[in-house]
Amino acid sequence: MIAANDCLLMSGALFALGVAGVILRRNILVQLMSLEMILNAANLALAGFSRAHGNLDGQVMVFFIITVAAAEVAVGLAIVVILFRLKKTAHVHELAGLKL
Amino acid sequence: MEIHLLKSEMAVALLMGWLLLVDLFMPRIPKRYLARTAVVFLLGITGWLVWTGAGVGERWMEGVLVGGGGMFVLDGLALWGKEFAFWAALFAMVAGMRFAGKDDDHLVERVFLQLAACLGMMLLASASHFALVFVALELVTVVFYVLVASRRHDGLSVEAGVKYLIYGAMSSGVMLYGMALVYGATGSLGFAETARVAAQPTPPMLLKMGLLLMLAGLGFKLAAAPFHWWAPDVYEGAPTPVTAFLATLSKGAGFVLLVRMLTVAFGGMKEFWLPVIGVMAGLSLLFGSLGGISQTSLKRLMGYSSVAHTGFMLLGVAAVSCAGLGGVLYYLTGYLLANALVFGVMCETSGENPYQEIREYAGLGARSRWLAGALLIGLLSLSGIPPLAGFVAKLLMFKAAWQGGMTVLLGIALLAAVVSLYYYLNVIRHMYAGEPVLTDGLRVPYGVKLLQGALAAGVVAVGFFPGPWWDGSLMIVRALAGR
Repeated sequence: MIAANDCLLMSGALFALGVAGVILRRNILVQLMSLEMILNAANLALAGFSRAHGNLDGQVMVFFIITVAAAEVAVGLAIVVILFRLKKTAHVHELAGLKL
Repeated sequence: MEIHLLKSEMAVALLMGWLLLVDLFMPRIPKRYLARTAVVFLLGITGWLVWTGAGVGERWMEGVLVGGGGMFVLDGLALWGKEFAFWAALFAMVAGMRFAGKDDDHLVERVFLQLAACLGMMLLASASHFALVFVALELVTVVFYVLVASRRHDGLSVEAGVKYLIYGAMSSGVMLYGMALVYGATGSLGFAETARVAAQPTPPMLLKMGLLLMLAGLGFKLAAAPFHWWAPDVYEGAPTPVTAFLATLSKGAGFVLLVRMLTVAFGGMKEFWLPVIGVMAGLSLLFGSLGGISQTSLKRLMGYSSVAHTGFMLLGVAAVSCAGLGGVLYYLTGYLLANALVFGVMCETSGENPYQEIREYAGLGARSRWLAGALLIGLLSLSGIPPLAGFVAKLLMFKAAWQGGMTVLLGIALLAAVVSLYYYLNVIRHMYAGEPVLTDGLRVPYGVKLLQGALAAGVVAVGFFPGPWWDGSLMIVRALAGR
């Protein structure tokens, strides 16, 4: 029997990993993967809580998230492909045209 | 079924579908005519919405119209948000059409995307369930990823797109995780159930964590410090009409959601979120005003200016009074008009050139008195010079902060107002007294003159006669708080 707390711990760890990946990694593709990890952390938490509360709201929400995440990644990869064609790079530190 | 509540959304969705189909099956029709037709249709829908109140008229005041099991509400704030979305989309579409070259192949797609973002904000304004909030917010954000990167041959535009994508998607993810935690605490994704749990004397820890994460995610969309760092970069790199759209629509969407979320769902946790909003307001005011001083690009400057304006509006949210929240709506009205004016002039002067150095505006007063005048009124309103809309708006914020007893924040806000006055006046000084870099005269078509004249008149009217706008905003907020 998996308790809600275990789900929360697991999803919290995934979430932290994802955020760390986006902030620390410098390759845009790896950053996109980390973004997926954040979304999946939310999915896991929703599914776990859904089980704990005994209603299906959270699991239905998961379907919406999966759909939206697919759209987001499609757009994201398209933009990265354009960037690669223009600059021949997928590294963040070479994006210095706009001063940060 | 409450499907009739969705009339205005369905109209926009139908317009989008029609646009794509006609573009696909009748390629002979010039794109510009199609885009113009879309603008005319959208204007028609706007007129209908303003005239009839989305077909529900004044009925929203008698009671909240709810659809989808409490997922979709149609109240004053929702109608206000929809109108805001329409006007923002209209200004951006007109600016985009002027900006596009004669042989632009992607004009229709761009108009389609702008309509999609508009639809996203319309849904968001009515959302009172976290599932709808998420989907509508993503509709706005994902569309903006594409729009920001839409000058595909321009490295800066694509770079800005990538930056917006990475940070925007991360903030969506953070916000989503916050929603998951809120669901864990309440067992429901609806605002009503959340409000019930939040009103307990000691709200659960999970709920607090969830709210904090959601505020962080939302802070990004609003360009509120400390989540503002993307704004100057993305504002500069994006095509100018897209920057205009980003500055108005995404700000309006964020604030409408913030106001509804904090008053309806988390109204019982004021002591918890007040300091958070207060800190965000103070930091935004400081970063927005101080960061703008050394900028040489007008677009970057507008990025910092939007951060500072977020700070002013958060001040009104932090005041947690009807005066403060009503002031936010009033502020957004003035902000929309002034931004449409400033970005409209930027599109006219630069044409295809996305780089907007302030010194290129030197001598604009001599090149085109009309454009210089429009830019002058827009900048003066943004900086808060009486009697324009921006002045009254700032005054309302100061008053709300004073009544809320936030003296430190009020001090920071006054400082920010003075500092930002400096950088706006600097642009005006360049415009009239600077050594001109470009001297060719600018020809402005009548349509653009008419639009800018109307916008300028709007800025002056909202400032001179604040009564109707102020009463309307107050009524909306009172109805929201009374629930």
